[in-house]
Order: sequence, then C-alpha cells, then structure tokens
Amino acid sequence: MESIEDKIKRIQSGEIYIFADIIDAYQNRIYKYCLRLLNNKEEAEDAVQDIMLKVYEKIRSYQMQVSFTSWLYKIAYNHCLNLLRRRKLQQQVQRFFGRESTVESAERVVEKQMFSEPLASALEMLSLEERNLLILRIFEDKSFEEIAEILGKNMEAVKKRYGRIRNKLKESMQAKEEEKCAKSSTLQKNSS
Amino acid sequence: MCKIQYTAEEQLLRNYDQSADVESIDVRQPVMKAIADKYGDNHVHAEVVPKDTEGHSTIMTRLDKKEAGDTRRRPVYLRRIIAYSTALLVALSIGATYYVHTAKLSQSTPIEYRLKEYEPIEDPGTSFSIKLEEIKPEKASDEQIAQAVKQNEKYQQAKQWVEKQLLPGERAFFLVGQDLEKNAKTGMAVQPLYFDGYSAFSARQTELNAPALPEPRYIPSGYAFTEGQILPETSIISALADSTGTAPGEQAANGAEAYQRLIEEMATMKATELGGNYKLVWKRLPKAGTESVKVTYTSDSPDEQKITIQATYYAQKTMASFNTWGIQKVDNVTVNGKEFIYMRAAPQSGQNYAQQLLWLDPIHDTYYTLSDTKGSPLSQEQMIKIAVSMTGIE
Repeated sequence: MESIEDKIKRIQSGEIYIFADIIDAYQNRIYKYCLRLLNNKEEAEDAVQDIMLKVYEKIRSYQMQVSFTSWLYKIAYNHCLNLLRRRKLQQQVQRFFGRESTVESAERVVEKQMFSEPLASALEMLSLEERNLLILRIFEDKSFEEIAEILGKNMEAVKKRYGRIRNKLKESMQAKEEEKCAKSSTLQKNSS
Repeated sequence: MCKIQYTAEEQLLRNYDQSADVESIDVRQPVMKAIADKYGDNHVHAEVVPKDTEGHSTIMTRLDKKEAGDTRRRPVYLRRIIAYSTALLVALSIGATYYVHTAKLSQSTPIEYRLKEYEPIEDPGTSFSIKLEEIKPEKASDEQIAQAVKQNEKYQQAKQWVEKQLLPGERAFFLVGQDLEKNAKTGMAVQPLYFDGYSAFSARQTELNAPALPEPRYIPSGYAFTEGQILPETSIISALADSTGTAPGEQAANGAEAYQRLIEEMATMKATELGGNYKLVWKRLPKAGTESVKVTYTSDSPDEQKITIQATYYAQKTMASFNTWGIQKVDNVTVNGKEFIYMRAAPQSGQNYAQQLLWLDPIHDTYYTLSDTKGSPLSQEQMIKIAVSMTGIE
C-alpha cells in the first residue's frame, strides 16, 4: 500500500486529485481534535474543511523533515486558536451591546459529551495551551517528540510542562470530587 | 511507529473520553469542490467515492470538470459568505462602534510616518541613548577562525549546560576555557520565566515590576502570540555590588573588584569537563530584579515567521548600541513626533532579522526592540504600525 509520504510527493508533483486520499485518511482524526478544542460540532466540522484547504494550499512547501501528521496538527491547532480568539472577541462585542451569549452554555453541553465528569470540569480550569498539550498526549496518542514538533518547542520543556499540567489537573479533579462528596453528605443529612 | 506507553494515571484519564460516540464526518467532496472552484480549471475535480465494503482505500478517479454530487452540508466558503453578510447586516443595524470598543487597529488602516536620516535617539532626562555602530569582523587567519569557532562552540555548550541547572527566574555566572586561570571566557546564563498565554505573562510582569511591554493593538493577520519571557537581570557587576550591600554610588568600583575576586576564586573550583580539554565552573547568583521582557508572535505559515518585541530597563545604563554590520538601510522614522530607528538587514547578512525597529520610553526608562525573522513577509509600514500600536501615539 502506498505510504502517505509517497502520496504527498505525488501531490507535490501535480497529482492533485490524490489529495482526497489525504482528507480521507485524516479528516476524522482532525475532527475529533478540533472538537476537543472547540467544543462545538458545527465549528469543528467547518474547521476541518478550512484546515484541509489550508493544507492543500501549503502542501507544496511541506518538507519531509517534520512528520506530516505533526505538520497537519500544527496547522489545525493554529486554526482552532484563531477561531477561539475570534469567538472571544465576538463574545466581548455581544456583551458590549448587551446581548447575552449562548455559546458558553452550548459549549458545556458538547464538552460533557466529549469528556465525562470530573475531567470535563477540571479541563475548564486549564488554559487553552495547557488543555491542548494534555489532549495531544492523552487523547490524541502523541509522543512527547511529536508534541514538541507540533508546538515547535523543546521536548524536555514539553515534558516538564506536561508534568505540571497533570498535577494541576489532578488537584482540580480531586477538588471537584471532594465538592461532590460534601454536597451528597449534606443532602443525606438534610433528608434524614 | 512505537506505541505510547501510558501510566496508570493516564489510563484512568483516558477512561473519561467519550469521543467514541462522535459521529464521523466526510468533507472530501466539499473540500475538493472548493479547491476546484478556487483554483479553476487547471486544478482537477475529483469524484469521491466512499470506502468499499472491504475497507480498501478510497477509489479516486481523475475526471473532467463536472457537477459536484450531493453534499451533506453547504461548503464552508458558502456558509462563510452567508455568515459574513449576516454579521455585516447586524453591525450596520446596531450602528456599531466596535472599532472603538476593541481598540484594535484594523489591518487596512494606513499609518502616516516620515523618514529622515539616521541620528541617535536620546532620553534628555537621563542622557541614555540608542546608537548604531558598525563593528566589522576582524581579519583573521584560518587557524584563528577555527580556534574562535571552537571556543564559541564550547561557550555555547557551557551556557546551555548551566541554563539546564537553573530554575525559572535564576541566573548564574560561569567561566569556560582550557585553562581557567588564564584566558577563560566568562558568561551569564539565565533561565527566563516562560508563558504561553498573554494574560498570565502580563499578570506576572506587573507582579514582578518588570519593564512595561504594552500589548500591540495591531499584529499582522496570521500571527499569534506564542511565548512571553521574563528575564532576570544579567549585569554581573551590579549583581556582585548588590550581593555585597554596596551603596549605589560605589557600585562600579566595588563591583569591578568583586568581579575580579570572583573570577580568581572560581578558577580554583572543581571543574566540569566539556571535552576537548575544555573546563567549566559556574556559580548561581542571588536572585535579582527583572531587566527585560520579551514576547514572540508566530505566523501560521509553515516557515513560522516570528515577530519578537523586547523591552529593557535602561535606568542603570548610559547607552544601548546596535551593530549595523550587514545592514542595508537605516532611517529614523517619525510618527506624530515620536522617533524610531528603522534598520533593514541585507539578505545575506549575519543578522538574524530582516527588519528591526528601536525606540525608547523616557517615562518608564525602557527601550524597545521589535524585529522579525529572515524571509519575513512584513513590510516596513507593518513593522512601524506594530510599534506605533504599542505607544498609543496614533
């Protein structure tokens, strides 16, 4: 079976129609990744289309020194980052004009579909960058070497940062669990 | 590819994943159609056929231009047009003063500036100045060049090694050479505090009383904030003077003496071997204030072009000098009375930027450098616009 690298070489040399194979191979992986970052199905699907178009536009400049998957994830991450910034700006504008945003509540619903509690709530405590690192490592099955390639950072720095994020997440999850236990014992007391 | 080994804790986290329930998508048809529409007849329209029942690779057929088949949803570019039109209507209907609210400079807003011949910029209050100087490389024999290259390689190796020993915010002084008592090269290694979000960077910057680095209200499209750094003070003389409790007026003399003593003392310390008969000794210095901060914006293009802005305190300095060796063009730029120095490097120069702007803020005793990277697509006007958007003079 033809490898992805061979297919890319053929696309770079002009066999554009093979690009549909690339979309086929990666679209659902990138979709789940975008969904985990954006927490909105429609936006995630639009993002995949945009990302694939970007990849097509840039594929001639892609060089094999970096793995294609990492290169693709890097484009996807930057795209989602821009979308989230735009979303934040829109929310600010809506608030400025006195319109209540419904995006946040929609986000929570989808997020709960992607991750169950207490992880879903604990993830909300992280910054987007922290969340991205965690998602790449735990849910996207990326090695530290690949994550370093995607983020354009040193592998050791990525490992250290990941360790810190995991501790932060652990603490948040424990706090959520304790909160839950405290609530249920109060309820029990009240009912008895 | 090797399979990733997860720890028990990671395995536990993976159990919270509910993505198995997410329905698959298929965007091949709209994407390929968008490519064909966007790039015209020279590009091919592809018929996309779903995977066959045995799960073999997609059948791809090269076809002449034809009508696209039914798609599940409208292509993204159509939805985008609809979204933009709706947004425009909403904005018009509410008479938006959005421009004022966001306080951002739009990508297309032109900026008025005047160019004039280069002259140093000076803070009249402190006499601190930003100057340009041409420092030509000295002529040297092949042997001298080879030796200098080797020394520099070992210096960098030593610096990196020491940096690894430091915690964020720490700094250290080191000596490296073949004979530490004679001709050892000295250096400072620092471990900055790193931030990958602007808000965290900004909060810590304020907390540490670091030089002010206002967030640019204009950044060219495609660039995004990727890193902020807060760097500890690197002056060894003031570090030594501080550690001995010297009064500010006596710092220079006593600092220089303490510096000499430190070198002599360190030369006798147990050294770390760096190979090639090179040795390294180093000493962690007491924590000090923050001297400079730096932010980096990276483009979403595959070559990851960068914009770096650095702010440095100059209260203890008399001059900041920049080398113009390999610089093609130097001008002073004036915007609403504010002066900037603009430099453009020759394509083959040894400088690691294509363009650089320098200016100072006499109120905060801070000078700024703004630079891009080689091969940068930014124009002179865009560079000026970034700088101006940080100064609030537009």
